[in-house]
Amino acid sequence: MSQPADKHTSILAVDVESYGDVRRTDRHQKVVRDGLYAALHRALDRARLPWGYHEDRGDGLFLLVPDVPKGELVASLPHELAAALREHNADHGPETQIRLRVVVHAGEVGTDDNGKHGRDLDHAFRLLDSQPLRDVLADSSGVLAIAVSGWFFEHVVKHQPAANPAIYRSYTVRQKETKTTTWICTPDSPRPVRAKPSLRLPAVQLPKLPKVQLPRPRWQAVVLTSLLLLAPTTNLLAGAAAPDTRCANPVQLNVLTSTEMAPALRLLALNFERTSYQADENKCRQARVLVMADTYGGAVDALGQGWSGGNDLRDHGPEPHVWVPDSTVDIDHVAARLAKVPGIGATLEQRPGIARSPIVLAAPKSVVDALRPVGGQWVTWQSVVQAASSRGGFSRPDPRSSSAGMLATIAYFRYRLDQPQLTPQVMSAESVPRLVHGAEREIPFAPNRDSGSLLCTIRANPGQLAALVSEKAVIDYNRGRQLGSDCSATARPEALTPLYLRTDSPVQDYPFVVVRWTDRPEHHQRRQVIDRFYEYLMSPSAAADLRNSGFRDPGGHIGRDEGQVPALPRPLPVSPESAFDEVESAAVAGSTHPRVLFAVDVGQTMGAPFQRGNRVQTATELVRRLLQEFGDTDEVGLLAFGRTAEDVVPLGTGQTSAIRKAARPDFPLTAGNSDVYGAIVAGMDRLRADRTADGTDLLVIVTDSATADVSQADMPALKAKVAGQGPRPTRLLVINLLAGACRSAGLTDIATAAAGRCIDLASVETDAARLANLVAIGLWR
Amino acid sequence: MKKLLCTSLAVVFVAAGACTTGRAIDDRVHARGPITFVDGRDTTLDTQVKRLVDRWNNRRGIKERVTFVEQSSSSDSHRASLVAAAQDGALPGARGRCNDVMAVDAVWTAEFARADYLLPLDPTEFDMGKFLHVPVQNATVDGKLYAIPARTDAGLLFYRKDYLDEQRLSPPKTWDELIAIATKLMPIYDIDGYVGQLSRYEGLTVNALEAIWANGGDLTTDGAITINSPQAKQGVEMLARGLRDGWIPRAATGFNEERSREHFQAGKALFMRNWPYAYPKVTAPDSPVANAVGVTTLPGPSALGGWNLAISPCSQHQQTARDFIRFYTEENEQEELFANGGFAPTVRSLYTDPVLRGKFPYLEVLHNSLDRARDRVQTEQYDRVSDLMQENLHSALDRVEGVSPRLDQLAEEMRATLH
Repeated sequence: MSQPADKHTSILAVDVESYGDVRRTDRHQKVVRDGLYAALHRALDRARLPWGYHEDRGDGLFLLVPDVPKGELVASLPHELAAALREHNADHGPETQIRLRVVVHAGEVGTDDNGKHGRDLDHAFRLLDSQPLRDVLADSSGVLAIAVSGWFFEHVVKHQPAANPAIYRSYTVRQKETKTTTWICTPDSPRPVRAKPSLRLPAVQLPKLPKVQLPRPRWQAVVLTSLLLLAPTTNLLAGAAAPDTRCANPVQLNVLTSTEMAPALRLLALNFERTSYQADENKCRQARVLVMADTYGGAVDALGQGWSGGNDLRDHGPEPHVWVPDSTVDIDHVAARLAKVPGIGATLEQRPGIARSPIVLAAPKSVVDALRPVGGQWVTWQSVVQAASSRGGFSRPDPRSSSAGMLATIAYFRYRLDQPQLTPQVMSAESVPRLVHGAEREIPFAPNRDSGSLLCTIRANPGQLAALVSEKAVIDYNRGRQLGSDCSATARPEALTPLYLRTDSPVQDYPFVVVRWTDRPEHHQRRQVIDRFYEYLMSPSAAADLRNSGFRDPGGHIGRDEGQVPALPRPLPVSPESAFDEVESAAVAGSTHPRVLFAVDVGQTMGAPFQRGNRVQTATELVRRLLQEFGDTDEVGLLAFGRTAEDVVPLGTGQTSAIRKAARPDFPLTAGNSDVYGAIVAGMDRLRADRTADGTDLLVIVTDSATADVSQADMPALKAKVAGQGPRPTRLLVINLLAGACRSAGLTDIATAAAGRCIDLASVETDAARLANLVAIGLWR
Repeated sequence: MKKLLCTSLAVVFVAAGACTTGRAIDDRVHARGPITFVDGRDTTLDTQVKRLVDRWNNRRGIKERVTFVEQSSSSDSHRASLVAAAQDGALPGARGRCNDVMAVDAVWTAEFARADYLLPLDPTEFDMGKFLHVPVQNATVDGKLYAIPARTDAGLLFYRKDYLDEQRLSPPKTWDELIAIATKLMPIYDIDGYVGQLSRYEGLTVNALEAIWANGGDLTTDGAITINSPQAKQGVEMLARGLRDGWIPRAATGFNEERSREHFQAGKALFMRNWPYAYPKVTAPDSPVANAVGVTTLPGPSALGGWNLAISPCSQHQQTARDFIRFYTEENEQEELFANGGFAPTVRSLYTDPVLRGKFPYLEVLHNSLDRARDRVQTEQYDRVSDLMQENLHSALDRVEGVSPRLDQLAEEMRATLH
């Protein structure tokens, strides 16, 4: 119960630093408390101030000093108090040293049955407990830090030259959603605080109370006081009383991450360094974190060989202690590589991811309208693929550059191959190159692009329509932020809408991976730093930062500014047994530009019957069927050979209809035998003539080999000829219309030398599909 | 046998401990054997550092073979790699890789020395009198020598002499002149104005500081943080305006030394700030701008750069390590590295060598530039400061209006960080 007349009074509250430290026994604490009271009494006496009313608060106390000019409390008292404490400390050991936090304030204080109370008293205790005051004392080489309230500074200190207002610095105290200003000084340790002396001493575990444990000379109080008065303007005391602070070297922590996560993780790492520094009671830097960015392929290559490649340090940076890839797929991929080469000394310990981001289809309004997504947001792989094949202009990131590219590729190929998992067995099937090539034609990957840089090219070329990218990249794009490292922020054109895959949606999960190198002992401090770093990354404040950077937090929540977005789709399960390397190489091979030369035997014997028609009819029908796999941008050509080879349609783009027309069933035959070996040489020469062309070459020979005489051919020379691969491979597929001639005419041997096949055809109907696959294998595997 | 005896004695005299440690360290100090030499990525024309190592290996043979391990060309990664290795190497039971001889950036030398990552060296073994004075000072920490200056560095302004001559313009002496020339010539020759190193790494700190110094500002003044002084703001705003107004291409915000060198060498920029190593490359016979390049001092003071060679405490063959450092800093090796690799020598006499001066007229420019170069390390926690600068400056460059509040924030963060 409050009494009606609260009394205006000066408030002096003090608290002993580290009073409850475990190394202080009860006896030590009693010595400290007695010393505190004695020092206060002595200081007040010397400053000619009354003791007033006091209440004990265990580790400190407060004094109410009414009826004295308030300025006296900040004029000589601080120096007297510092002197008295130093006298105490000079006589006592480390466990009974005293350093004080002091608050000076004034206000109305009431009394009830439980003692003193009032808002101003509460305020004084809040300041006494505030972080800035704790920090200032911790950083100070002196024995005391004094905080005065904003009011007290404005109304008292400022107008009191003896209080030396210039030595106070203002700080903001945040507590229970209020912000107030306080002014703090360290009267016996002048400002600016000297940089800590860096002593070259071995790394040590710090005792908690080393600050004033150096033996101090016992100075006469009068001398000390005069020095204290000089203190604000000289460095004398600071020099004399430099604390014995030794910081262990900060632990170096090297973190590898993706190009997408790197900017956000760099900021988080800086914040982590800062908070761990501030939380350290000795104000030592705990860690220094390097965040390095690498591509998907770069990280997988270097980690997959245990960072032991001759130039891994040069090309990929230092060995990482922590790896934060975009997805668990990255880890499985590395694990698969490591498993192939036993004895490589790296183990990966995976922890749950620090963020999420689903792969979405980023599309402008026109595409969104055409796709008619369910609820304006949901699409399926089927609708995406349909839209891509009818409109064109769709793309996805490179599976070698980013996890987004790898995940999108896996999900897309699964749909195209109609397989639940892309195991090595699935990927080695004969149909894969053909299906993958079809997939790459409709939604190609953009070489060397990750989600951000892919959207960057879209921003620069509005002709590109839609892309399968991370949701995070779409958010950056729509906010006009920097996309990737080379695409700086700029005004955005039309916003892109993220469309979500209702099922089979890849989701990036940014796992935290501790990398251990088995060739060296474990560094325990680093281990602790890693644990703390992870803890920090999983903290609510880090989650908020990640949301601000466009990621979802581990709970799937997104930043508030992003409007209505669906809940995180259920992630597509990707088996760790997936054939990651094969998927990657299939995508790369399947996107190469094909050059195909068909060579049809038109010798006399091709007029012989073959099933329902004759051989040349069968041969031309095969050419027409196989032609269906190629479009107008592909290079194709037609060669006819009897004794000699002649161009019917020369190799070039836009030739498919010309070949279809030329390869008619009644193709004229030439008199005499045909020279299949000569035709192989001629075909190879034509394909290899253009050294500048890129892509893969395939020579498809359709022949009956009826007049081929292997004994007349210079087989070693032929094999050397077809095997002599130039800068780009030239493969050979021989389709043979006379059973058994593949072997008897030596064509299998020749085809094998060119990494190709020779097939004895049974019938067009039964073999056409397989031949299409073999053509695709020749070109894209 | 000796070892065994020593070990058993050690068991007896555990408290004294003199036998084992004393002998082992002695052995290593005078031991010869294969060593590892770690330097940044060898970006010199025709890998001159690698050639130097080859020359050593040809001379010394297999028994004292030097294995050259290149680190990332990003000095931040280079540093992180060395520190992590030093910390691992100091663990009890550590064996295996040791970075016997390390190239250490002048910026980190003091920090490394105080952290016990470097062995102290005996100056009498290295003929210290022959070196430039400032780099030796830099390698001397708390009165002890910890490293030997291997190459020094000061920024240079490379320019398209052909275009400037054609327009009868002399190379700029101030930023205002540079901007005026760039703005005038860009449309005429369809070329970018100026490129430097504005990617988010140490290079950005260097480029920003040089811009700040040119405008009369500084990172600190009398120990106080002044990165948000009006002059400092002007300096950074100048770069941001360059990006806005187009005399610095946007792409330059992703450039490091090599990327800017490639851009300039491809004939795409009128001016380039770079280190001397770029000179042999841009003037090489196969360079598209081989005969069109001029070199002058920067419009303001340059940041002093440089690399020192130091020895790791983990080195088992310290005699070889010291010999290799001596070899690297021999006058003729320094001359070779300068003439072919563009590394500014640390050996004083080379700057006044009339033959060398005749062959490389820009040696004088370089000497002048070194003379005016300023030390960017003004605080103990320089790496931290540089980190903060990079983080804040990179985004500050996006908008001219954003520079001032960003630098205020940067100053506040620095004050909060440095104690």
